[in-house]
Amino acid sequence: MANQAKAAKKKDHFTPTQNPGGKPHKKALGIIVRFGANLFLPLACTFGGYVVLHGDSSPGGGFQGGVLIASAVLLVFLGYGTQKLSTTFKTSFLHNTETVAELMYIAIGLIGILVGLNFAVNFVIDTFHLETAVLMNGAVGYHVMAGIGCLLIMMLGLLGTSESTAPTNPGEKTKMAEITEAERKEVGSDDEL
Amino acid sequence: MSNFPILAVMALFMGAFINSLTGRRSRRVGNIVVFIAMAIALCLMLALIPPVFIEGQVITYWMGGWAPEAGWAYGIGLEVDALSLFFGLIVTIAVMVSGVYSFTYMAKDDSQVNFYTLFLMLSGSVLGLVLSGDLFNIFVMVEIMTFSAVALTAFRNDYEGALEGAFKYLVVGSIGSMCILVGTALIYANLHTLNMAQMAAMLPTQHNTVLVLAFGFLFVGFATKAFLFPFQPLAADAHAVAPASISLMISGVLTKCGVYGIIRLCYGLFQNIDTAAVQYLVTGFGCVTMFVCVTMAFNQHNFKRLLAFHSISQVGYVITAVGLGSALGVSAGLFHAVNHTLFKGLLFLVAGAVQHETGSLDLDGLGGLSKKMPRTCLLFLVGAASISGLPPFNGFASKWMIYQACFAKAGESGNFFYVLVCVVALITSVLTLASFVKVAQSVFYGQLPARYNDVHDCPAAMRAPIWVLAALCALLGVFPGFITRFFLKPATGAALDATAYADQMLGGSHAASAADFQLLGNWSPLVWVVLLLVVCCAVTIVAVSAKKGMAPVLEPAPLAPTDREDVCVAPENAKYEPFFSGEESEYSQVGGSDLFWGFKENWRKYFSFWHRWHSGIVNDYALYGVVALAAVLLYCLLFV
Repeated sequence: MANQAKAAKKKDHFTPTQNPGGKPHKKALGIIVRFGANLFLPLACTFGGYVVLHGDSSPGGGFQGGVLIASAVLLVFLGYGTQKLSTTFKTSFLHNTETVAELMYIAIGLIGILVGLNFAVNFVIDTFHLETAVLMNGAVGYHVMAGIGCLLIMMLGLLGTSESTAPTNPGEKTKMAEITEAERKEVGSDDEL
Repeated sequence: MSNFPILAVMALFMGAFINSLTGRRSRRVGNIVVFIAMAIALCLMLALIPPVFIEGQVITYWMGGWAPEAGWAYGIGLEVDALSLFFGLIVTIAVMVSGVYSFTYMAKDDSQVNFYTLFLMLSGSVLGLVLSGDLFNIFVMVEIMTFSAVALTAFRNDYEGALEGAFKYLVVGSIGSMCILVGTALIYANLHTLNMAQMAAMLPTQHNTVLVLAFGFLFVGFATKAFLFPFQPLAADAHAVAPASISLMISGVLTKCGVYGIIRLCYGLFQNIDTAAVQYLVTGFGCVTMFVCVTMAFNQHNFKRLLAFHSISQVGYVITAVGLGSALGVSAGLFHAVNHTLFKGLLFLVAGAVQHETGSLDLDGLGGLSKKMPRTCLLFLVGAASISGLPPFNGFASKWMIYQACFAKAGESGNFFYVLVCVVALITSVLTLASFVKVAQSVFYGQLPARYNDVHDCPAAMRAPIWVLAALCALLGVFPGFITRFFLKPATGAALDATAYADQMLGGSHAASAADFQLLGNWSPLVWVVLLLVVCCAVTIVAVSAKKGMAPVLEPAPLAPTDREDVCVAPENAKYEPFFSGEESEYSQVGGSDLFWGFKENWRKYFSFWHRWHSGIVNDYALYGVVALAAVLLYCLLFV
């Protein structure tokens, strides 16, 4: 029940950019929303990058910065709608590079073991004047950015089409395992509305 | 050597990510990656056996080299003592078996790459949980574990109720995670540390209300993860729809995390298991769990739902034994924990094989499969004998230890409560045997329905992992002395010796010790096997040499009508005539569900009550969870 309410709330939130049927409608997008999206998109990305890069020495870090950058997805959706979203971002690329970022994190952590110290130990690579903590933060930042971005694209994509095609077709196994269960339930209850 | 634990955890996580990258293009490459990751983790855990179990070392490891300074632990640490490694071995062996089984079992499903990624993340998180020495780290691992398990439960989302079962698991599992988080936060606010070794050093000297509350929260949190009494409906709903290999993981591995958490909590961190109140709490939870779940299992008509209730019932045994607070009790609990993983995994995999071949798990619809799947049937009988505690299998050995621990406790304390515990444990074991007779009759014996005429035995690649489990069941049952000496005693010693746990991590010099205990009576599984055979021969001789003839005619007693279909038995039903009339009927199929109809009829009020209690509504289950939490907190505040 709570989920349905939540999903309904989310829909209300997006009604300015969508007609009640939930289908993307280009004419309905307001110029103010688009201007706002244009204005805040570079700001969000820049600030996110700043938080990621300074994660080892100041509050914040890879996770927080990654989420900030991923908010770009939301801004594109708000300003330009679902169709632009699918042409702007390539989900498969994001997904694969996200996996690479995860592997990078573990690999950098394993460097510590290879040089005879502990896992995830922080040391400076002299030739580049680079700490491994910065690299690990970067990996986390990219991973969170790509992960949350993928999640948002999937959720918003389903939000736009939930009335026309049922997202949880019982006959076929959808690619839903990638989405965490929370989103799945939201989608499922969305379907029932 | 000290890097082995982190490498084992990271091997599983790396396997998950590499599989996600490569498995999308080629499933074969993905499977090889998954197999290598599982094998590395298993080998690393096996390599830790000599130093930890035989030499008694405790392996400590600080992430990033952040060793403690001036007695304060800042960094995140891993600490592997014999208890952690014991559970680590259970986890890695179960993961290996489950993964190898999945290669064939899941071969026809799509999006397998997601399945194996989630599967390895689940495995890695569970292994990280049991090896971790940091309470907040344990919470993080619990979260990863819960969410990947929820997603895997709903993996076959074309099954009826898959999403529903997963949703219930998500909601009530989150209540458990929340409890662990709150407990951790309360401890951190009081002691300013998250390191478990430091907590073990500080907690026993401090006793205030907030810490008692923290104990209550953590206990309920881990009890949720073990699906103890008010949480058992989740397990039933989740198991019934999950793939069989995931059922193995949930019953054999995830519940063990709860057991591990409770042992660490009561023996390591708070060290309050010596107080009678905590013993009543833990043993009482275990006792209620094992009795309620075994009677619920009686009423099930779905193979895997029935197994799920039995699984929780056996976890109840483990918790009961652990709550006794004696060295014998902990050893018995640990022994039953590993046995539970083996025989319950075996039974779930057999259920998966039956489902794989016939496409059904309905106990009322199946029948006579021993003719079509004789090898699977043999494996099922091994599992059923193990879980029911028949010698010479492992269930007998560990249940015997549990009874002895209860007897010893009752004798020492002179407390009637422990006599009752022992009686409940015995009755539960009998009921377990009875309901496995029912399953055997429903699935493997009786008449073969015509639609299953061209069913074959499952592929050898699926049977091989089950054989491994069956062999381990028999080995542990025949040589219990071996596992007691080399595994149980060091692990029990590690559980009881909290000082060593704290000192080793923080740089002290207290050496770990092995616990010692004596069993009350002489016993040998082989003697019991001989006894069993003699009794079987005697019964057979009597049955064969008896006079051929009809039983005396009995008038069917009129039965009171009841409101429940599966309990209420209409006396005019033709299939019960062999019980009453003695007339020779041409064919009368006695369904497995009807074997114990008299028992069910007499207890119909009890069964109806629990039937209504398991309403299937997630709001109710969440309410039960919250009520249990409130009750435990109140109990802790009043008595602990």
